[in-house]
Parts: sequence; C-alpha cells; structure tokens
Amino acid sequence: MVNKMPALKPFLYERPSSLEQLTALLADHAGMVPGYLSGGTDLLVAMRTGKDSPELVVDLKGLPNLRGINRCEDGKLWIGALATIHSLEVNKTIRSQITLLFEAAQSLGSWQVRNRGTIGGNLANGAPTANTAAPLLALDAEILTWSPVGKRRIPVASFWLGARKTALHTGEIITGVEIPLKQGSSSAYTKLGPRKAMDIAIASAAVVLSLDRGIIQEVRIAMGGAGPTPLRARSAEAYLTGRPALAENLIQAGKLAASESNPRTSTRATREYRLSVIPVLVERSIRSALKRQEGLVEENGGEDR
Amino acid sequence: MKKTVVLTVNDVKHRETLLHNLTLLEYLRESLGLKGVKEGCGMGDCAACTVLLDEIPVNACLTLAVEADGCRITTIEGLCKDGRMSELQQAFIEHGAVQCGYCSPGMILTAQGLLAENPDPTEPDVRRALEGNLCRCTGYQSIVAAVLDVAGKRIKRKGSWA
Amino acid sequence: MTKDTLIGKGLLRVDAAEKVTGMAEYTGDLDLAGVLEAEMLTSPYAYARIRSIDVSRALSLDGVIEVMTGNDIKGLYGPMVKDRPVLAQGVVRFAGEPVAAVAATSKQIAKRAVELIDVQYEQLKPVLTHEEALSPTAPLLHEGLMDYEKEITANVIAGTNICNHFKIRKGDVEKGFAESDYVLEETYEVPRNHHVCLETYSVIAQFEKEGTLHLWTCNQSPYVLQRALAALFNMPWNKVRITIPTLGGGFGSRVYPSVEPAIVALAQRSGHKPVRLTLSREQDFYRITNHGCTATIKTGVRKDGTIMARQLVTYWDTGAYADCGPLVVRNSGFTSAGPYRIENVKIDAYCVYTNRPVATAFRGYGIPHVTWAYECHLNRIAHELGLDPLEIRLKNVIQDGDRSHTGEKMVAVGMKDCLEQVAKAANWKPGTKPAVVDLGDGRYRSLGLACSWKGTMRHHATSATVRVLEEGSVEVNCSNVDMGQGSSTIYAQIAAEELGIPVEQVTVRHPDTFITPYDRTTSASRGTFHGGNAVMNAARDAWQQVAVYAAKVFRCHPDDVKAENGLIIDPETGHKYAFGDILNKAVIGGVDVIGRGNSYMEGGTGLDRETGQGANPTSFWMYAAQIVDLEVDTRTGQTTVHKIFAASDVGRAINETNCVQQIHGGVTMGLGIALSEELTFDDKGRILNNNFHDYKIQTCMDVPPIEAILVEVPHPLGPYGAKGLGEAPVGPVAPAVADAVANAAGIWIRRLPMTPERLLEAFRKDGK
Repeated sequence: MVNKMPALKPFLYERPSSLEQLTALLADHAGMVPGYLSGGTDLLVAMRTGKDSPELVVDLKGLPNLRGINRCEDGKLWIGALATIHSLEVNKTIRSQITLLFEAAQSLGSWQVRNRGTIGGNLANGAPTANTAAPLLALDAEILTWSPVGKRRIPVASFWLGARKTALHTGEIITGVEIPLKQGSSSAYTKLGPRKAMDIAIASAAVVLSLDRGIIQEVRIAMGGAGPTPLRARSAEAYLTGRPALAENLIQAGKLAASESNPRTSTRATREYRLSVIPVLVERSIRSALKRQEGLVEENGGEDR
Repeated sequence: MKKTVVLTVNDVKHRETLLHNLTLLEYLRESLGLKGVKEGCGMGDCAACTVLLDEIPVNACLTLAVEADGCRITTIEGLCKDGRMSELQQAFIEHGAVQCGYCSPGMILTAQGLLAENPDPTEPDVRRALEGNLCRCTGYQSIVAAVLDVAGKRIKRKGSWA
Repeated sequence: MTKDTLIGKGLLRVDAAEKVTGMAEYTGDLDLAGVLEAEMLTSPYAYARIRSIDVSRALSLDGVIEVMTGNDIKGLYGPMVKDRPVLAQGVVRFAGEPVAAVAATSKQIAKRAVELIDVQYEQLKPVLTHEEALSPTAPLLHEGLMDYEKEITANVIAGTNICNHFKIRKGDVEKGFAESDYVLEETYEVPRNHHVCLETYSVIAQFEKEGTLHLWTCNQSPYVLQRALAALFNMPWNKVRITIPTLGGGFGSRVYPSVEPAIVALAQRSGHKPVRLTLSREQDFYRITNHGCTATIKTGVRKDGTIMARQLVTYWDTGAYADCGPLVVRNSGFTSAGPYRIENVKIDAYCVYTNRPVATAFRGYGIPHVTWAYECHLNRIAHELGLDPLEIRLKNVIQDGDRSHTGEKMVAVGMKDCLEQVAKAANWKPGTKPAVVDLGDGRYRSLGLACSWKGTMRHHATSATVRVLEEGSVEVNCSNVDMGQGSSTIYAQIAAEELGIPVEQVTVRHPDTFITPYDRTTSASRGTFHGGNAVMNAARDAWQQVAVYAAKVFRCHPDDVKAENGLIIDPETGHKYAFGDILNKAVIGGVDVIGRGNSYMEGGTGLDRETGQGANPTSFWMYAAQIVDLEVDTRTGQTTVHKIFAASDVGRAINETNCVQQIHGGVTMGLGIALSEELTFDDKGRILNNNFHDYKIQTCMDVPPIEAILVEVPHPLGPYGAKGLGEAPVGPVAPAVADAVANAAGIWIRRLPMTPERLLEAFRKDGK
C-alpha cells in the first residue's frame, strides 16, 4: 500500500532543541550543507523539483527564542525568525505602525503558505522579489544571525549579495529581525503580479516616509524585482527629501527609481516591462504612504477610531 | 532513516515510526488511507491537500510527517461527527459549491480554519482566506456564498442565545 | 398534468455528499492489492531520431518488473488518424513524448529505473509553429501520413504537414466584398492553453481472469477507450472493461486515449498484477493541451452594419499527433463565421502537425478560438462604422428559419434572446455606446460585449438502461461520465420524474463498459441532450412495463396507471401501493424491470468535403452572450473585472443550479484564457510553465461576481426541451473583455492572453 511514496529523496531529519545541540549536529555532519527547514514552503518545493537535495534537513522549529513579535526597550520591534508570515498579518503593531510589512505579508502566497512560511525563511531564500525583503530594506531593519562561531547583526542593506546570494555563511541561521519604530512615519507596499493573488511579484515598491507641513522629511524607497537583489532607490530618496509632496515630485521620484534599477528578463516578465512599471509602483507607494500621513495627522488630532 | 512520532489524526492518536522523507500528505493518504486528502500539485500552489494542523490550514504536501510530531491533524474525514456532516459540508452541498469535488475537501477545511480564527468574516476576508485554493469548476462564487452563509447562521444563533 | 414536477428545480447534486466528506473515490484513490507503479521516460527533445536505447541497467535494478520501449509494442492509435505509437518508434516528435515505460514495485524504484535508461538521440531541428510546418522546406513530420488509417473527417493533404483541410464555400465572397461599403481584414491569435483538471491523470490496468483487460481511468469516454484498446491489443470488445471512478474534472482533456495504451502494455507483461500510473502536475501539463490558433478574418459590411461577406483562414497547431485535431478544426470550422446571417462565406481551416505536445478537445472544441477572432473583429467593425456592438449584432444575428453557413435550416435559435437579455441585465441600450468612466491615475472603466454559438456533434448514439428493483428503488445505467458537470444528477432527476418516485430513490451508476451501455462520448455538451433522452426513454420504457404489471393487478388499461412519490395509484380506487406490492403481485416470486432507451435520431448529415454544405451536422446549437464590466490601468496594464453578465440559451433548465454552475465555471475558464493563461515554450519546444505558479488559472481573488442568465428556448428534440450548455460560456469572455478594454482605453488587442505586460505594450504603441 505504501509503494506510491515518498516523492522526496531520502535525507536525515534532525530537530535540535537548543543552539548547543545544533552546534553539535553541525560538527557531527561537517562537510554536509544542511537544508534549514522552518516553514518548508520554499525548501520542500526545491527538494521536490530537484533544485535542492540536502542530505541533512535541520528543522529549526525546536529551537527556543526564535518565535514571537516583541517591542524592545530601545523602541525597536523584534520579530523572531520563526514568526509565520500570517502572524505578521495579524499583529496589531505591524498593522498599525508598519503598514508596508502588513501589506507585504498579506499579499504573500496563499493563506496555507502564510501559515507555515516564516520571515526568516523568506529572507534566507535570498529572492529579490521576496515579499518581506523590500519592506525590511525600506525600514532599515537589521537581521540577527547565529552560527557556531558567534552572533551577528547584519544591516539589511548588506544582507543581499547577488542573485539568491545572501551574507549568511554556511550553517548560519537567522534568529530574528529588528525594525526601528519611528513615530510619525507612514509606509506602503505595492506589488504587481498578473493576478490578484498567488503571484510572485514581477516588481514591487516599499516606501517609508515622514512629512512635516507638506514637506517630505525622511524617505526610504526599496524595490523588489528591480535587480538581482532588493534595491534602495537612493537618488529618488535624495530628490524627495525636503521637497513638497506634490504629484510632479512623486512622478520624478518614480523616474529616478527606475533609472536606478537594472531588472532582468525572466519567464515572468521582460526587463522592459519591469522598467515601465517600477516608476508607477514607486509613485503609488509614495502616494499611499502620504495618504496615511493624513491619517496620522487625524489620529494625532485626537480622532478616536 | 526513520523517526518515531505521535500524531493525533481526527482525534485518534497514532504512534508511528516514519521515514524522514515522508510528507504529511503521503502519510495521511497511504498509511492511514485518508483519501479525502487530495494531491493537486505537490508544491503548495493549489491547496487541494489542505489539512488542519493544530486547527490551522496548511498544505500537507509541504509538511513532513515527522514535523507534525505531537500535533493534532484534522482531515475532511474528521469533520463528520457521529455520522453527521458539519455545517460547512452541508452548506457546500446546499449552495451548489461542489462540482468535480476534487478541491472541495481543501476548500472546506480552509473555510473551517477561517471561521475558527474569524467567526464574522466579510466577503473579502473569505476570498483572501481561500485565495490559494484553486478550483477549475465553480468560479468560486457558490463556495464563498456557502462559507458566508455558515458564518451568518452561527452569528444569528449566538445572537439568539445571548 | 402532474408531470414535470421535478424538471426545472434546482435539486441538489446526488454526488455532493460523498465529495464533501472525502468519500468519493477518484482513480488515484483506489487501492488494488499488489499494484505495481509505472513511470515513463520521456523525450527531452521536440524532434530527434532515436539511435539506441539501453535498458539493461534499469532492468537489473531490484524491484523493477518490466521495462518497455517502442521495440516491444507495435501498432498505432489515434481517434482521427492512426498516427501515434504507444512508445516512440525510432523518432520522437515532441518534448515529453514517452520513449520507455517501467513497472516496478514502488514509484521511487520506477523513477530511478527511468533515470538508468540510456537513450542516444540524434537531434533534428524542431518545427514549432504552423508557419514553420507549412514552409516548403519543412520536414514531413509524418512521412507515412497518406498510409495511416484515418477517419473520413481527416482531409489530409499529401506531401504536407496538414492533417485536415476543412472548407466552406457558400455564395461568392468576392462579390460580397465588392458590394460592401467597408472591408476589414485582421489576424487574431490564441496561444496554447491547458485544461487544468485539479486531479492529475491516473490510470490502472490489470489483466484479470479469462484474458479480460480491466482498466480504471479518469477518462471521460469509456467506450472510445474500449474500442481503441481492443483494436490496439487485438482483443474482442467484450473483454475490455473500462471502469470510470469519480473524475476530478475533464474539460475535453480526457476524451481520447493518451497514456492508457502504454500502461496496458505494461500490465500485459506483468502477469496478473495491476499497474498504475499517476502523473505529477508537471507531467500532466505534457500529457495533452489545447490547440493554438491563428485566424485571419476578412469581413465586408454595408454602412448600416449588414454583413455582406466573411472569409476566414485559420491555422491550428495540433502538435505531434493528430488526436482529435481534425475534428476540432472541422467542428469549429463550420461555426467560424459566427452566429450571423451571411450569404457569402468562405472558410479554410488547416490542422497542422508541429513538434509540440499533442493538442486535443478543450471546453468549446475550437469555438473559443474562432469566437475570439470573429467577435473582436465585429466589435472593431462596429467601432469603425460608429455603431454600437449590440446594434450591429441585433442587425445580423441568426434567427429561426435562417440558413446556417452549411445550409442548415435553423430552429429554436436563442441567440437574439441571449443578446437582448444580457443587454437588459447590464442596462446596455441598443444604439448607445457604453460610457467610459475616468477613475483617475490612468484607470478607466467600461463595458464590453460578445456572443458565440456552438454546435454539438452529430446524432451519435447514447444508450441507457433504467432498472426498477422490485421494492421501488431505481438504478440508472449510462456511460456518459459525470466529470463534475453534474450529469448524474440530471439523470437521477429524469428517471425520478418519469417513474413518479423521489430522486433519493434513484442511484446513478458509475460508467463501466461491463455494466453501463454504449455512449459515444462525454463531450460536446451532449450529456443532457443525448444522455438525458436515453435515460428519459429508458425510464419511460421501464414505466410502461411497470404499468402493464399494474394494469394486470388493477384490471385496468396500462395508460391509466400513474405513480406519485414512489407509490402506484389504482385509477379505480385511488389507493396507493408500493412498487413492490404491485410487482410481487403481478409476478409470483417477484421481478425487476429493465427499461431501455436510446438517444439516436435519424437525419444527421455530414458536410460536403469541398463545400462544407450539409443540412444537419449537429444535434443542437448552443448560444451565449456576455457583457463584461471592467477597469483597466493604462499605467501598468492591469485589469480588474468588476462583473460579468452571462446569458446562455439552455433550451429548458432541467436543473437550474447545474445550469448556473456551468455558466459560472465556463465564464471563469474563459476569463483565465482572456487574462492570464498561456502555455509558454522554450526554443526547444519544452513547456516553461508546467506548474500552477506560472500557469495562472484564476483564483477566487480574480473572479468577479458572475450574473448567470438562463435563456429558455425549448429545443424540439431535447428532453423536456433541454439541451447542453457547458461549453458555450467559455468563448464570449475574452472578446467581451477586449471590447471593454477597447471602449475604456481605445486599444485593440489581437492576441491572447491580455496580460498586464501585453496590454501595457499596446498602450505604449498607441501612444497612451
């Protein structure tokens, strides 16, 4: 009766329950590149299609202190690497203060995938279109890691090294993400796919900004699918800073952002199409974030909603 | 390579020694004979294999059976209690939400998960929850209506008890 | 009349309970003792000669029972042209073509064995498009084409890659163009699509005692398979048993044999053990696909919109083997001038071999392809003439008493009714162009309209038996397959109606060629019409027998006997009796009654090979008209569909819910074809997107509310006036979407699907 299975090639599955155990496990299997399993929504697909075939699969879900979403004393928000994408969607702080991450989480894959997939996995995967990547880049987040040789804090800006290449060393795991929470800033994430659901982004734009009396004070713009890694649109940011939030400036920022991109042609979209829509996505993300500034003003004005 | 795990499937505890590379989908279908768990793509793209893992809808094709050690799993076969169908199952029949039926188990379990998390969903909430459950026959309208109907009836009932 | 009480009601599906509880058994759910698992080695090349195959390493693997190649099994199969080997013989003609087959004790071993088979290929330059295939320098993909056995439908052209040339010659198109005020010629394209049954293909074959072949398969036409396998394996028909479990969709992809012959061949060599093949999703995409089509259409009109002449030349990429391609080309061909009164029509439709995967029937049988061409084209003409799309249609639409383009005198034509009712629902007044709403930021919203017609097949036979068991429960046997469209519910309803019993008392058996009688095919939306007539006639036959028994008991005339709610009424006394009481009283020791019914009708005709003329090529016609309300974003090319109004002429709704379901499903499929679905290939003829994240069917976030409108123009030959409708709603969606895009943003799209990227490119070219 069981001769139909299994579809996956054999491997050794381990589920360490402490970092010490993980250290020992890696030492015992030195020379093997472990496949780290958290949600499995990327790893098991890669294994099924033969794109990856690790002999050792290490389930990280037994490790302590990698779950949860908490405010730190220094005003930052810590998200454990094992926090599921769905847990980001329903978290009140993220919904109200880090809207772009909420929007990115909500538009990732299916609910089933969001229930299993984790923020750590989404980042470690290294895809330039990963939903959480551009938002974290725009948020100036830090990625916290652990490996047997020690812990690291990696600023997101230096996390992606190239196409599906990250700063993670072999054996190193992401333990969490820290996001600075700033009063008065608003944000937005816009993703473009051929359908209204279930698509990997053709391109995306993430924006975080603050406004003072109509003048853009601080703005960070990140783009997904605009190059081999998630990219900051720094000249667009520089252009907008100190300028009034007028339509023409938004359009100009979009154009600058496109000039900073270097997308590729893939089976999902051509380079030309990506270059055409990036300015629109950037412009619309800025506009949404600006609209939310109005909301902030109203909230500060004491309107209880 | 095998591991001994304990899985509670549809309220029955199973102590099993399982291959590491066995997916939860394969275990449920082939070892337990729960054929209501359907494989549509094997890659998490269609959600036909949705089961509830500790009440939460997941793709059984993207879950290793050993990962579910200590968990409670509900498949479509577990929704009938004492030979009676659940409200969602009934509603799917009454709303004509079933055609070829291949997506139905996954749809119903996802809806079950939704109503557990959000007893009063809006239509967009229902659509968002079901967005990964592909259906080629129905156009989804009757499915969404069935889920909303169950939610509405439950709320009405609660209201009348209060 | 107390009759008709069950007809028209939205009765619940008889198979829904087993489906929502997970109890329904699909082919892949069957457990057979000792089953062996099969796997196929398929060609990585679209066109290559096989120099050598070495299976020795695969054979020596523990657990491998059998390894077969084309050397082990001769014979060709194919429904229209017998051009296809069970396993490639010396040459592979598409990437994905089975070259070797393995049976082993586990799937894992079978897969490993496949990896150990060594095939040496000599690559040839593949012919990937119809243009390449028709070039004078193209290789002949089937050198033996003229020698193959073939059906009369396949009008092959010697020395070419054309496996059917279908023609219509009616009137004089050149004269018609000359008499026109305006002539427009355009070319439209539809790429290859995939059916996407949620259940991947699964088949189990076993040689049982006395040389009986037993096949369990998710095929939608058991008798087609029975005869094809019997011919291929040289067996009498009564030794070939095809059992059809529950189907997880069909949509035309499962009418003809595909992987079955190879699995039967393995089973033949595996003793009496069953052999099973279940395809992965990636493999399923290669098994069979829809046709790609390029249509050049030319129409001449008078200023007032009267169509004077229409000419179409269509090329169909049917892939490496003909399958039913020649019939798709013919049956869409004779409808391809559209549901309009046109005196001068010239059609040339070519079915062309290429080195691509095999194309087959797809919900609509080529009609969505030609509808895309003739409806977009008509909307363009309306625009050029300053007429609105509704007006130009109402002016030309085919009606009762008109002659079709094959010369058929049309009856019970619901085309105009569909147009009028859909326009009313969407509040579209004839003579007024739909308004454009500027939503800001480059977004515009408007409406679009299109319609379509579709024939079914000829008057082919479908038989049914209805068995009344003594105690009054009833069994319906019919081989028309319920693949999700709901035919078993319709049959239960009809049997119950005719016998005067509650639907719950009826069981509809799954098709099984050892039990259920002959049916031509489950295709062409013919299940309700043909299966329905067969079941109706069988139930009437059964009732007449019951009535004779009852008359004997009641001492009355059989015509005076009636039944209601499962009880037989004595006309004299009005007393009611259980079926069992009567039958047992009439026949000592009891008896079951078997009624027989057939749907066959005289008078069907073929179509003349040179002129395409024929008075009765189809049992009935289907009509559909739709209006799409959408928003288009001219800055990204994205579309958001807000609503679709969909009218279909169903003849008479036997089951309202089923009809609505068919419309919802057909429209949704049409919307995928319109916006997001396309099989993409690399330059070696391999499918790039054979998975669900890159082959994009519509999700529930994409599909808008669909308002289904049931138009009822009773068909004189249909059961209770009913006819089929499943395919017709697919075709109008894409041209209606295109019309809405044109009305909203002024661009005219000619190639599907209308992805954001393709629309944006069109806006750019248009200077928007």
